[in-house]
Amino acid sequence: MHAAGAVLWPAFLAAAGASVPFFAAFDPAELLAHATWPVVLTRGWAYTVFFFFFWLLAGTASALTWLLAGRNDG
Amino acid sequence: MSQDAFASLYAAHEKIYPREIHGRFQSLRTAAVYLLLGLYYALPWLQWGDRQAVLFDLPARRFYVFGLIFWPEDFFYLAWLLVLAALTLFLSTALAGRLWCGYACPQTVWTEVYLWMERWVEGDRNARIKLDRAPRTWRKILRKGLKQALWIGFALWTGFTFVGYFTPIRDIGAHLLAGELGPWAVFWWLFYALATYGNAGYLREQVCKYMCPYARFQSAMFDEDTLIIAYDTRRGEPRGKRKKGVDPRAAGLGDCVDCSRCVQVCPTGIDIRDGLQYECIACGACIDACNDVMDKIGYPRGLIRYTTERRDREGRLRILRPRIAIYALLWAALAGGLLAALWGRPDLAAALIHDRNTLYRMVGADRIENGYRLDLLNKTDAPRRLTLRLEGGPPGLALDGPRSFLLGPAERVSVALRLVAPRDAVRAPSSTVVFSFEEDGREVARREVRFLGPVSSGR
Repeated sequence: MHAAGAVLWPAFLAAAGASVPFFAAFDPAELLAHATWPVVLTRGWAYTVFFFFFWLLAGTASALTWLLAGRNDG
Repeated sequence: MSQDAFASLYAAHEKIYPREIHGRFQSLRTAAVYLLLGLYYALPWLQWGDRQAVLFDLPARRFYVFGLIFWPEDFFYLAWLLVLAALTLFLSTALAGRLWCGYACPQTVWTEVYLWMERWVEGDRNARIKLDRAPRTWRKILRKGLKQALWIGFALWTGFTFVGYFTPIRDIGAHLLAGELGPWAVFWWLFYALATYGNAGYLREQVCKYMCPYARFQSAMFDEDTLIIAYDTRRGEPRGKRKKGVDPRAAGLGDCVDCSRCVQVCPTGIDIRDGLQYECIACGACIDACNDVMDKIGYPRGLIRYTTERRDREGRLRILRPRIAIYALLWAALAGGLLAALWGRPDLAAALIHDRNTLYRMVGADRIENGYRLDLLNKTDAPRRLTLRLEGGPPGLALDGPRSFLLGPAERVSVALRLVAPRDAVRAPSSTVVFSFEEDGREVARREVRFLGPVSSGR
């Protein structure tokens, strides 16, 4: 439980930190129109999906760190 | 992760039943709850003209904050604001310790409200402990059920308000009743509701202890002049129970009667008498509890109190020190700069970009053409008419495209423009052309671009 919190929460902050400047710089509607794989998402969904994708990435990194650093959690 | 790791972590946590208290700091905390949550729940309902006063309209990619409208181009202001917020936190921490944790953090504020609901339904600390230990009876199920209903209802309202910052809240209400709320709005509504319910109802102090990064690094902002909550060991020890009217000094006792009220009221379940601990969120509950006891037995207040390390040692407060001066100066510079930047923020954005694919094009045999993309953004709530005037460039330069633009409120217009010049007039491979945008005869924006021609034109 503590480990889950210690992994997910920093990843959440990282995902928020990644999403905000990313979407300030790029409009998902235009980005997706030029995507290699055709993706059909409204902006509302694109923000949501990308945010969780960032969260998943950062969470994976967090979890690996936790695993490699010896599970030395609170 | 092994099963054991999880099992031991679960076992380590014991549910904390904070006892209710009254006093100066609890009143401050209650006031902070009303103020902050009042703002949170009321703000989306405020109207500004015929739109929502505060609306972060992500689908339309613009943020409304009262009279101001922000665009993705204004990201800079947001970054600046975040830096300013961080510095505010540093300054307040260096001065007065964990004020943020004790009074303003959403985790603290929502937990407080969830505790209130728990208290209304299940009673005070002793009643709650008893209820949890009691066998499952209808009375217990009813109490627990009622608490859950209140918690879930409040969480749903909180999530609804959260979504109301991103979609017009008056519309969501109507959409919700009609059952046609967009799926991502429903998703975020439930997500935020679940986060509130879990964090304020169950995780509570564990968020501060195990999840919060600020709790871990706030000590870096501390020095021996920072306000902390501390137990006066010299006055309190040796602690012990005593009969009424006994002179503690004669009995060889300090002022602490070891009633453990300070432990019972602590939302993080620590004993402040053990010294400064990172779990302490500096809410002041133990001060209120202890003062209350001191009043009752006729001892002076302040056995647990706000103090600094230096005050305990040398008996004096030192507020102005280099760290504070540096934080305060930086803070003032950033805050002043942000205000000035907002004040002088251009209310028109004009971006003019030369065609990226073609440097220039020959039109027929005797004319040279350059292509541009013009992006105009009206940052105000009123319609505006702009006219375009050209300066410089080769003689005989002509504009192929509109010269006049009508921009609706908060409208973005993107047009392709072409400049055409006679071949013979283009004497240099590159010359500068100025686009001047005028409104009511006054120049409101000025952009320079290059007009390109053949390299051989430099004859």
